[in-house]
Amino acid sequence: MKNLSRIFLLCTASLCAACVRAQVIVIANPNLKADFVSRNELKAVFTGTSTRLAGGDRVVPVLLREGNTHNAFTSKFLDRSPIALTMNWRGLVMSGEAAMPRTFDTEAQEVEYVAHTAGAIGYISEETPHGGVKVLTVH
Amino acid sequence: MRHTVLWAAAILAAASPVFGQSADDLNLQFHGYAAQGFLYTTHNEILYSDSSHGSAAWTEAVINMTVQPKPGLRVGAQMRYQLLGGSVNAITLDWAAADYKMNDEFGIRFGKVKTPWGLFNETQDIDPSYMWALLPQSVYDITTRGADLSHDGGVMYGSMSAGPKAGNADYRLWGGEEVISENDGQFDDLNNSGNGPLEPLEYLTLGGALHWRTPVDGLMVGASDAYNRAATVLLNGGSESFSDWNNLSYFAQYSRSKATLAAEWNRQASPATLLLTGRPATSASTDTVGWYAMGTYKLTDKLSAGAYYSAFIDHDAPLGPDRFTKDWTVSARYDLNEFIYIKAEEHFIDGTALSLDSLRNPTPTPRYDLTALRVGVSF
Repeated sequence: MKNLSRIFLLCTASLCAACVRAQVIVIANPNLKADFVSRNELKAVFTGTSTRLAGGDRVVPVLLREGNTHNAFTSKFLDRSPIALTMNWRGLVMSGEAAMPRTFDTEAQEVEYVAHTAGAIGYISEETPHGGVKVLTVH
Repeated sequence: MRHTVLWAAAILAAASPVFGQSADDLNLQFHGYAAQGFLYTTHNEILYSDSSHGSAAWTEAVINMTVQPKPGLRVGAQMRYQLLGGSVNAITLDWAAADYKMNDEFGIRFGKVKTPWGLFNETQDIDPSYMWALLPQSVYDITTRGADLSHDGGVMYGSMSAGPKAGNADYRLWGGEEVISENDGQFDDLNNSGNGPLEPLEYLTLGGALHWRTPVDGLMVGASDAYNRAATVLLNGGSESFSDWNNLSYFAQYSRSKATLAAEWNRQASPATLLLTGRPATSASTDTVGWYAMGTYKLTDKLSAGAYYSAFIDHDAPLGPDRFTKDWTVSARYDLNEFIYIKAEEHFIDGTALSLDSLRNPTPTPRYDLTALRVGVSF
């Protein structure tokens, strides 16, 4: 019985750790005027429908190539799987309507790019160091 | 070829700011896909293939290059290899264009550009972007899509607020010259009888489309209309003259969570006269109406399923099964990963107005089933 309890506690702790890992924040270049962004705005920007936030900021989305943060962002904020997001962009690219957003292998690379690129907007895990970028509150 | 060279020169001129920048600065990108299909029909030979015996003569490979030297400015081109039965086996230029997006309200692209009519025309030849092996042929007929996909000219586009709490309106206005090659599917009967065109059919096209993204989350309704000016094409032993005609579509799409519903209605009434040496002038007019209703559902992140009903009728055709095609379709798509996908589809077809050329189908069977499989890789 004691062993079962330990296993249960271990599983619960692992699940909590996974939840914490999947905590995604939206980051942007510090020169952006906006402090908030809505889910609909995020969906429009990251699916190529819009290049502007409600406050007037012109934004350029950047993506992560893969990983838990990428999976969590696409499902939580864009209502689609990472594969569906990729296919959405490939459709836009191959019909001549858009270029594929810059895509980064690591969150550190993404933070570095967003910090130094006007209008850049991306997403990282909350745990990733993110000095030099602005964190946008999603409502 | 003349058009291709002219547009290449114009695009290069537009791209002059890119010279001297590194590939990374330019955001140089290459994308593309390759797809191999398999067709099997219980009767008839579909899409110029020997499909009643099973045919793999359905191949596409596309390569795309884009640079983005400055925010808002894009320059790119896309080439395609296509094999479709015994009719098409060629490398063509899909599009080559420079695009400047000033802001969300206004952008312009020019060159050889995709023609944005209807719900799917801009993506109807981008196989990885949708779940179907074959889009509804009543509106997106693969044998005549060369006439619909692109034009030499320009497109203005943008998005505007429709008012407080009224959603957004995306507009597209286009104009230019449509060029239909001599071997396009719409000339099948003439080519089969030895009276095929001696030159491409070229005509002025002007159009507009409006997509209203309504306040209802996920609901878009829209319409498009294109005016096509009268033109004449020289034939081997005569000519064919087309009067002015329009390409009119109404459409709607609703996406919520894992489900998507869509429908479209399209009419193309094309008065035409065929004049062959030694014979009286005859009518070659068509007045076609195509429509479909479809639904898809994402069962998992990788597996989607869907079904559609598609109907087509040519009001100018004689009564009988040659006048219409009705198609019930069930379909599934599985994405192994972000690169490789598989599609499987079954069509239950009634009518012979679409997809069956007269050379391979002298006496087509009105009711038949089609199995379409597709495997593709995209990057």
